[in-house]
Amino acid sequence: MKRLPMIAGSVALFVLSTAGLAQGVRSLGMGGLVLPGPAASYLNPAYAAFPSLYGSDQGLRLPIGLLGLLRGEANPLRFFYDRAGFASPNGGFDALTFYDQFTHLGEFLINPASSNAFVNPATGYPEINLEYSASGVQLTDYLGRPINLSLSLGQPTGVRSSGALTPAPLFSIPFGLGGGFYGDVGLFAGGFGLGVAPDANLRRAIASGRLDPDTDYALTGSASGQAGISLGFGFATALPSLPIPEFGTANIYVGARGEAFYGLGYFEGSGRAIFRTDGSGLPNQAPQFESTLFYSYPGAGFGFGIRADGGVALESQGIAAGLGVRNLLGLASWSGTQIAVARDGTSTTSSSSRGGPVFAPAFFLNAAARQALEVGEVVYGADLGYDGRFTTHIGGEYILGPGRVRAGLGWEDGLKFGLGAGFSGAGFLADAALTTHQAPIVGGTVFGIALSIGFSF
Amino acid sequence: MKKLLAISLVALVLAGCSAATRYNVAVNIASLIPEAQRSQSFGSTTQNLVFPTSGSGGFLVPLPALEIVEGGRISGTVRLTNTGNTNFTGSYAVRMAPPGDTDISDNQGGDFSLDATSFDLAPGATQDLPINIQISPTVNANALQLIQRQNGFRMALRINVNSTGGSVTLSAARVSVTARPFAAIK
Repeated sequence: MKRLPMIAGSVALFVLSTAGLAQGVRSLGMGGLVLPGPAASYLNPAYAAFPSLYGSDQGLRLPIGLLGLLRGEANPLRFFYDRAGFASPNGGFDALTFYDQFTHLGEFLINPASSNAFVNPATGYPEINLEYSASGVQLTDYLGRPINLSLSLGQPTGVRSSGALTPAPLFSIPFGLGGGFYGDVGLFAGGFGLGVAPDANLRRAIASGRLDPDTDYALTGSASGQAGISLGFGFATALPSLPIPEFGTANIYVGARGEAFYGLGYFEGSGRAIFRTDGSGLPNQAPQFESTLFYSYPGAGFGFGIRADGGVALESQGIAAGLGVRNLLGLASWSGTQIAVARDGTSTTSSSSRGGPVFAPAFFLNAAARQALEVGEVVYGADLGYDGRFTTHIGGEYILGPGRVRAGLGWEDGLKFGLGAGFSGAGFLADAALTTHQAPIVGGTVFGIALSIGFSF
Repeated sequence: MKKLLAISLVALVLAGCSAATRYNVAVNIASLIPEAQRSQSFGSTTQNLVFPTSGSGGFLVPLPALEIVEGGRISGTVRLTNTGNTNFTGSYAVRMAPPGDTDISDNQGGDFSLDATSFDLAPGATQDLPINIQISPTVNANALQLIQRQNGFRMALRINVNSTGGSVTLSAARVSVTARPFAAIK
């Protein structure tokens, strides 16, 4: 029972993270682009002193993906009140649709991933074929195409790889301290990764349809996440303007920020289901399982970290660019409990700790321009980031009175694009975005709608 | 193989199972039987041959008992060659039996016959005879019940041979079942 709060907390943090509330709808409408400005000071501390030239995301993103879970095929609760309908071959539950919508609670998915991608026109129902022969096993769809067993969500950023670099805050409350100094208090929950994938041996076996003798084949699953309260102190200031011949003057901003965090929760889990072939290549032994779980939360461990960030930004004639480096130096440690279950089923629980590299920097470069047109004006920009993986976005916004129209392209473990529209009136603002992601298992592009609203008085 | 199926089931559920999804689990039986046990030559004889020839128990298909199985199909090909000087006549049938029945063709212990078909081959002729047996709640229901209720089942091909010389080869044999996991939810 002692683990119950941890599990409940993990689920709550997971839901918070997958709601994607940290990313604004305006940004989504521009393909995920982050524009220079104070709202990006988390990525580049110099932006804390930077003027708000390009606007910002101000609304509260709504978890409208919950509406998508009301669809019959995505609603697991039907099991409890409409079991016949839940299990019906016509209009029953679809685990893939549920998974896709549940992991995108910040969006209402228009065409969530569906097992219908496997429908065999000859029979009218989804089919998955498992063929077993002396030469091995094949898992295919009705056309004989191998089925991709990989499922992944998010980017696992455990302390062992990213050190003291905490995930982007869900929200952050800044406060000025005068003289260019500022502080902020934030709550972060993220770094979530969830993945299920065949290991290299199993992937090769699925591709070739052949099993080798005396070989382990494994399906591995892993998950990670962390949450905490961060306290940041920073300094940002404008340096003396720099004259640029034939262009004008450039305003230069520099900033540095230190952040300490107190950990509210951390987990890293991995599991492997292994089957081993015998001398003749037949998988006729009992499958074995091994897993490791490390967790830490106040009362059952302790997590803390401290890190230093720096950045520089330039602005001239409405054009701006900035480079931020987070985690130039950092120290993070989580102590907690590790439960390891070995292949033979023996479980060992021990005190354990996790730490990371002192130097694990993350880079963020972005640039933007604002240009008046004959009618209205336009803001456009691009960004490039590296925090263990590369991300890049390019997009823009057309502004006409209170109306906004946006478009953009991005790369975040796959190509995505965004279209958006917004209204920014007196006291009220609303944004909508059409965004995309790759459907798990079945592939293809899934479209989602995200909404945010905001009020100002 | 039962273990393999258990692992595969986990993978399959992850692979996007809906209430409508059917899993076709097929076992290529011919590939699992050594070639020598799938073929037999003979001189002048009148007898019953059972394939695989390794014994009287047939081939054990190690599928776990699955109430969720909706149906299936047994398919294959038998190649007959008549090297004698008279017509090669007889009949062939697929036999099925519970896993504990060690004699699949004695009509005792639960074994039974499916789809007996006769043939007549002229001297010097070679012919491929098809096996194509449907299994459903209404067609060959006894076979479906066997698959649903027993942990594994035995299969064999029995050929009644009346010949002055020839050979029989089981060149292909495959059994497939269609299961709907959500059928287990009642």
